[in-house]
Amino acid sequence: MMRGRPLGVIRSVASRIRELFQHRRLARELDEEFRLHIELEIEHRMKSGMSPDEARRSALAEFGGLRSRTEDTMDARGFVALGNFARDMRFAVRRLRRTPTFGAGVVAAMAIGVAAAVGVGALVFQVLLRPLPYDHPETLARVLVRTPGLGTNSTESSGGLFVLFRERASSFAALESYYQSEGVSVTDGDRPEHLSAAMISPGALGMIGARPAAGRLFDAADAVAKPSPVLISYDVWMRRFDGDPNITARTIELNRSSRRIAGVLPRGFDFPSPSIGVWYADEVSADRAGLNFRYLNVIGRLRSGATASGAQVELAGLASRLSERFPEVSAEELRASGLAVSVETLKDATVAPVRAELTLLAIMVAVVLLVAASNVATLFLLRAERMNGEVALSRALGASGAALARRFVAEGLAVGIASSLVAWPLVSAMLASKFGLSAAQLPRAHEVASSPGVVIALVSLTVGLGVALGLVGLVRAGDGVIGGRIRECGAGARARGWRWTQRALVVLQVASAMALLFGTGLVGQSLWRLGHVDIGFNPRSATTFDVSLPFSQYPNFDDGAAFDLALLRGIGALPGVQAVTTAMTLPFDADIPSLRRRIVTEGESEPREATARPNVVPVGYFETMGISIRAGRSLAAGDAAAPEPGIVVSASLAQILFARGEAIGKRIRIPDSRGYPVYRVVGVAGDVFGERIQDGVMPTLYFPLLAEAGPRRTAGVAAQDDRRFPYDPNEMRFVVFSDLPASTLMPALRRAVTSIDPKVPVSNVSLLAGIVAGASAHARLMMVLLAIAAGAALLLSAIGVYSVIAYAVGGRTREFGVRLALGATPRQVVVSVLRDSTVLLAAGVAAGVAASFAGSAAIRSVLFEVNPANPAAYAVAIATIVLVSAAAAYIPARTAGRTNPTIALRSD
Amino acid sequence: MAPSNPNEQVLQGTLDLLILKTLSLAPMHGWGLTHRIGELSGQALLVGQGSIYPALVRLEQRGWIDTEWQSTENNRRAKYYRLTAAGRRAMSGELASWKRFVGAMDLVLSAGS
Repeated sequence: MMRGRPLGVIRSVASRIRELFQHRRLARELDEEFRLHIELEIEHRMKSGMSPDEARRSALAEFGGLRSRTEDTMDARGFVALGNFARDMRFAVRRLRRTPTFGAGVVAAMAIGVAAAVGVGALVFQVLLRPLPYDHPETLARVLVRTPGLGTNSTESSGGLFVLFRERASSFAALESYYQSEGVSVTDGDRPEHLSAAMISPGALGMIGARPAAGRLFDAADAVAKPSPVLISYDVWMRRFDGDPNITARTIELNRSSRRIAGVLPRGFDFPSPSIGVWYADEVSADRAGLNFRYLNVIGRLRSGATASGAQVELAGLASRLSERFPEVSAEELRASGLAVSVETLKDATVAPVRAELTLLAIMVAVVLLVAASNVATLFLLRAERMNGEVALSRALGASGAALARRFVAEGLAVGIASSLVAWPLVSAMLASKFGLSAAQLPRAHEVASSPGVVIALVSLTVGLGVALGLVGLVRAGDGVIGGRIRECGAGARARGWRWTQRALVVLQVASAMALLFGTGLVGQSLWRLGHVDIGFNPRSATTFDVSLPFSQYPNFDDGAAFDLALLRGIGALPGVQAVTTAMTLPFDADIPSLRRRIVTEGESEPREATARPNVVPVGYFETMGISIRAGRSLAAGDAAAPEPGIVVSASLAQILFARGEAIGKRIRIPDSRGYPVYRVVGVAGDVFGERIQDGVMPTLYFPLLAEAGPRRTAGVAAQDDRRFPYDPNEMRFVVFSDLPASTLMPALRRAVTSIDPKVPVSNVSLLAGIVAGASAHARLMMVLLAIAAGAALLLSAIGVYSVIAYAVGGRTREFGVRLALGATPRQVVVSVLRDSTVLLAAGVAAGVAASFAGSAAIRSVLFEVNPANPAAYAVAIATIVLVSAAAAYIPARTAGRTNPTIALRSD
Repeated sequence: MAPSNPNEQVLQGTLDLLILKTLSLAPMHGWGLTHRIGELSGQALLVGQGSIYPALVRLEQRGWIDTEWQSTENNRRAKYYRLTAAGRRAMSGELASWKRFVGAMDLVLSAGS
């Protein structure tokens, strides 16, 4: 009542501040004071007739542990938290080490939950939320063009559409285009090398705000200059030019033509992708306005005040009048294509492919974090229950509330810091591995990295959680003090409230674990199905690599074919090579929209059309790869030179084009201004897949790779109208079946290539098995992540069930004693405890079923041929959670059944 | 002989007053204080060591008592506690409110007799 006096408060604060600096001396003095006290007490007791030993023992016993008394008294000093921090932490660590199971349990649970949350949270933030690293990224938009009527799901624009948009759209301050080519070979020096290349409109880099590391960006003149200059990546600058500051005076030989270097883009530059080594300026012309030739990615800068949706309305209106601007696109063709234009912000368009997965992942780890936090909370609560008496005692001994609060908070803090130390390596490993996702699977993958922000997030989350949990423990433990109840803390209404909190947490844990188990079940089934899909070919042990022939040196189909066939012969003759073949695209290759061709049937009463992925393969390709021939025959000599060249179609393409499946001898045509010949179907091959099995088989057209394909050309481009096939075999992938180790095989393969042309680089070496595994890697990754999450949640919920039941049993020892004494069998007691846990379990399972049902919409997009309304997945998840929880509840229930009535009743 | 459990729990809040009063008679060290309180109360009030030292710290922080290291009669170094002027004022305040409390208790307990 006198504490309120201002003078007293000032004096008290001053005294504490003084003590802050005198902590060591005060502790020493206190020690000395206590020693004297004990000595005087012993003397006193001896004077009143005790033996020296007895006096010492009783005095010491009464005084209690000298050290703990010192701590209590020091606590009463209510040291300013800052100055006492180290001491409190030491104390907290000591207390946690006294209960290692509790300490390890909370640290592990929290580290798992927090590592998952921060790792995945950082990924989701960096990919889905963080603005793109360009100038004013919010006003950058991507224009997507879809033509469902043409049987394709590509989103690229045609040259005609782009020119039309650029001429007339008022929503955009700028519209630019880009596309990635198959790449170029750097042919100067003695290290031929393959680089990814981007063809961009000259203004594109300026529009996104790129700044060159050396030299300059493109200007409009660069697109028409002959030969046009190029930009190179920072990486190429360093590797091939040693970072020469005078780089603009140098040249680079690309596909054997020398190019001036206009400038260097900065390190880590990622437009349109981080793998690009060379940029070409390419001004789009509308010479091919047709909608069946679409290869341009269109991005634009919205005019200030314009929105993506407004721009979309405008562009859609413009697109509907394409025929007016380009009469060669007939109104009929335009209508049939179902042309639809959409405008999305660049970021939305970039991350769209993974939004569903990442969202699901985020939900998943949020659930794990929730389970982990609630579990740690339960553990803290149970411990607080036990500490109730201890706290009341400290309070009675004069420890202030603030000192107690500090003790609890320090403990939470210690747990938080320990878990962030455990979690950090997990988080950085997760981010470094990018969760096993490749750049192709994860847009912006190169931007994912640990950063100071991630560390801050991790530390604040763990420490925040730790402190919060410490406070929860304090509030709970404080209950015992308020009522003065040291022992009977379980009886009050307040304690009942706490018990309900614990039970609600356990229900939450059981539900979360069940939902995650359900998700794992679905993805597991999906993975099993993926693994049992007929992939259409025989993935024997084989090495694949790419060669890339520059058009300037190999202008004709026959030139490329001659090289390819010579290389096939050369490799086939190598010792240890069982077989070799080649193709423009292999099974599981990513779809390249610009390569797709629209094809129509010729000479049918009802012409049909389809969009197919083209391929160019030599004689024997199907046999070597183990792709079945379903009808007709494989490609053979003579097919290329025939007036109507022979081709093979995949079964799915035959299905689309020829309803009755009688494809052999039928004719098809590629509707293009350049007058390709009509082709005759000689065979139907089994289907293979594109990059993801989930996306289904790829309708494919196989052209023959034979050195008999067409008239000679000398000037390359000029003679294109005479071509018999829409592709040249200049970018081929080779597959070498051999049991030789890579260290023997690869040099031999390189020699085989250089013996034909020393300037042709070998690139993209990989194993066929890896390509096959890659096709289901995504699903497998989801499976692994879900399984880990579900396993962790299951374990945590089992601990939760166990601790709550164990706590309840501990509080009812007397009751069990009475029951047993009155003739109940141990079995009845066990059953009664289990019945108690049944309610918890039932509630948890019910909530889990609801959560699974709600979550199945989110998971649908990652599933393959599995219906989320899946009774088997529900059954397995429920059975697992019930079994594990029942086992967790049985352990304390058995203890209850073994209660010794006499001991239970005697224990006051 | 001191029993190991005080049979009379010192009421929370009254311990401060007991200490202030005892110290107003003479400066004393901690052990002496517990014994003096015991003596003065005819061994009815036994203050535990666990209570006396935290209480002394509290009082010192409020500036009501002062400490000084001195030698005991047996020539041992001991920390002596002494009432300050503020402590003396506080004591009279505490004393007054204690008397009001006891008087009020009395009135209630003697009602009807």
